[in-house]
Amino acid sequence: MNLFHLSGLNFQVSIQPLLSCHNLSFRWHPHAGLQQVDLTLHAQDRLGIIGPNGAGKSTLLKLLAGLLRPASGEILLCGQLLSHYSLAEKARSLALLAQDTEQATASTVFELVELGLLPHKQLWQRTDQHDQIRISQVLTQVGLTDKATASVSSLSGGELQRAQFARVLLQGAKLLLLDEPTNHLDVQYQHQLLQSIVSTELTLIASFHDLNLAASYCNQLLLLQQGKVVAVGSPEQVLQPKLISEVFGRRCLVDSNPFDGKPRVTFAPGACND
Amino acid sequence: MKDTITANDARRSGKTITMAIAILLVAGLLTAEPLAAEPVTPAAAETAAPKRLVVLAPNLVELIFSLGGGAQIIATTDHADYPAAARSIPRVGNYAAIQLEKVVALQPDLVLVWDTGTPAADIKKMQQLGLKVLHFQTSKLEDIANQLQQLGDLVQQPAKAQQLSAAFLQQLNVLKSQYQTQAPVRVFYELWDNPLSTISRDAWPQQHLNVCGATNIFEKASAAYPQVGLEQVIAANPALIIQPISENEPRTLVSWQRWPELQATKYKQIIQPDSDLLHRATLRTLDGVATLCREIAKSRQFYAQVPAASGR
Amino acid sequence: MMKLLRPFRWLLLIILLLLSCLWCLNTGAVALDWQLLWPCLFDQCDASAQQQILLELRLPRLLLGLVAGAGLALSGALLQNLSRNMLADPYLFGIISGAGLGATLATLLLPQYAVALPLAAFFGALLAMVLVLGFAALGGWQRLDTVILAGVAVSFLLSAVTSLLLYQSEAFAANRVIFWLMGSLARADYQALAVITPCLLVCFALGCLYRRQLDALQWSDQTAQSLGVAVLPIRLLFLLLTAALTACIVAYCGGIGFVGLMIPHLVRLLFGGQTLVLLCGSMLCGSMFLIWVDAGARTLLPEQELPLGVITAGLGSLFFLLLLSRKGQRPL
Repeated sequence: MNLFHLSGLNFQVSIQPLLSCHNLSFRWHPHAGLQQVDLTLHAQDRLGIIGPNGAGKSTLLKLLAGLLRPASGEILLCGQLLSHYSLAEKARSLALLAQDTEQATASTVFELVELGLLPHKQLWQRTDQHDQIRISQVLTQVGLTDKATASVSSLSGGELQRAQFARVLLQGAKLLLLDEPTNHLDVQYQHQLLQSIVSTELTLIASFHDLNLAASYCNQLLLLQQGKVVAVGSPEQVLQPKLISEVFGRRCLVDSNPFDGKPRVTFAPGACND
Repeated sequence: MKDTITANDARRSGKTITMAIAILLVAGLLTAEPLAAEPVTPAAAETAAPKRLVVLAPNLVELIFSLGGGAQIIATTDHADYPAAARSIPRVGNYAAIQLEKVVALQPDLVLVWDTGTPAADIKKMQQLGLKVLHFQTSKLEDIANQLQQLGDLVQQPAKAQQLSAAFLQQLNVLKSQYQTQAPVRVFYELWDNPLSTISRDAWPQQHLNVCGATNIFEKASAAYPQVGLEQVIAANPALIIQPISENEPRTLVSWQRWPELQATKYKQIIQPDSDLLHRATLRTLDGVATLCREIAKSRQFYAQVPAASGR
Repeated sequence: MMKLLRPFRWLLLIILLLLSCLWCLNTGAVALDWQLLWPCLFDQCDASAQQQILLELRLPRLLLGLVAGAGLALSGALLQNLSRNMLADPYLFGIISGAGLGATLATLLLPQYAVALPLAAFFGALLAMVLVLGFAALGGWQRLDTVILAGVAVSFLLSAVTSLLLYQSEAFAANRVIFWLMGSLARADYQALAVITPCLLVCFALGCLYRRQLDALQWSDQTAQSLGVAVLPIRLLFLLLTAALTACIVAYCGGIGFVGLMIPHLVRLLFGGQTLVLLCGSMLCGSMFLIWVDAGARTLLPEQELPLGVITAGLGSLFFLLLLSRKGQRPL
């Protein structure tokens, strides 16, 4: 894919997409599944996946993370088939921040972040001085320096997500997949977490329940309905009142967020539908 | 998961252990031909007559006392309670585990074990430690006589042993000739009440019933000490119910009065012989058997006088 | 106080373990002389009975207690991390019922061969494990819960077979098997040590090598997988290892419950939950706990020995009640 082609007198490098997938399908039920998803993502893109429950948001993320094997189609990461990556290579290239319902309550924040070293270490290698410094760096980056020795069970939901994010930063992947990162978080923590994520140079794919968060923090949106891609493009292109009302089955109004000028969706409450 | 298993185990062990204790401990430490792994040859026994014995079975203790050799026993197990002098012998464990340290520290000349009642691992360990171990096993009443002679050599009372064993065999033959051929009485042997358990042809007390001319209604059961249903007993409708009881190990009994239609209940044919005598293989066993035979004979007479009742 | 001792806690634990060993060597049904302990251990004392008691009875028993305690606690710690289930236990796979079945068969069929019992118990435990893993494979490995449920089912199945066999046999056999299932170190000899120790070391070494993978598994399968952990192979490897280790221990010591469940909990409270710390701490504490329990079993009743399982289960249930009352509404 790394093509050079002649254009006039100069060699020009066509920008290789970081991640692309073609014709991706997966069935989780005989009558339901993802159908023929195509997408292309360049470095530092931030793609938000939106859609109603059961549209296939999580499944798409798991396919892209290589946790599920697609029924058909292919995923290319940095120009190579994802299925050809070894587990450790995959872990070094893409990281997943899953919604862990279970917690290892006995471990400390430091130990959680230390897991990010896993794909970089041989079995017998120790966590050395250099690693310790890097761990402190990422902890500073997410603002948890003073919590390093605290037990994971003593953290608030927002702090835990930030600690997980620090772990992902240490993992050193360029592509970050987030599954509903703001679930169960209070409003201020939602923004805090997303702000610290978009302030890095990571390429991002995240699924969202909240359309307005997706609009504010992503530069591309992908709208799924029953496993099919209904729309893809910039937030302004995707968040059309007619389309959104149709997909979510509820009247809505789209205006502009007074703070950042991004589209803002407001659904009609209660009996105001129709 | 852990809970279920533990509960299950507890339930099972609770049941089985009480029963096993009933059968085993109160019952028999039955002995016979020594299957000596390290045989004590007569020559060796003469040159160095063992003076200090550790005897790991209550019945062997009792037999040694009847030979007058009780003073040579330096240690024994739980439940060695007869004669009264035996109660003061130091204890070194029970049928589940022997305190090997104590046995070693006592430095006995000979350890007498009961093959089914002494833990096999402990027997093996004692042999590894260089202790002389003599095995005993009993399956028939006649074995008691053989054992007596053998123990007589050990405690250097061969004449007395000869005399006692001859008397034992004679008494046994008298009982057999008196009762064995009499009209059979159908009996239920209530070994334990809950779970209701009895004996079958492979059990030790079955011999007593054979000597006394009684027919066990569960003789053909496959397990030696089977659990049975109350319904099975009612269906078999025995003429006599035997409830062996012990002074040392009290237990609850089935109240057969609740089943008045049972022949045995109706005619009050329920007897309670001494299980200490019947279940332990010693010289006193025949006293127990003699009493049992007399009671059974009474029942036999009773039914002979009430001809209407003898049919089922 | 606790803060002050923190850096020295490992040293303290090791010193405590060594002292416990000496104390246990000197404790037993027969009172031995303190001064004679050392010379007798090195074959230089005149009291031959004392030396025999020390070298041939207490020492192998102490060593077996050390490795069995370490092994059970290590298996428990590994299983709890693998399954993210704090109630996982080495007896998860119906290992104890499998071993019970083996022991029963050996007792009934080959009563004259002492070596048959541990061997049969081992193969019984192995059978249970193979059945459980087979059922779990049929269920598709979706969740570790499948393995636990399969363990319960196999456990009941094998117990049923055992009960049937025992019921059909003489009462003495039932008695022996039941007491064997209650656990004891009386069977201790150097052969048992030679079997269990290598298993223990292999488990420990692999646990240390794969410490990061095991740490990652504590979070979720997805997280572990995204960190590059081959979840299924690692889980299978450690399930097999712990099952084999437990089977070896059960074969020689019978059923000693609660050690594998309780000790890792205690270590998590004292030292934290990271795999490496948990494994080392569990082994040290497990060893110490079991030799204490065995010393108790040998001396609590003046004229008898108590089965180990009775004491461990009693202490274990007390420990958990205490934990529950302390944690109040918080789950384990």
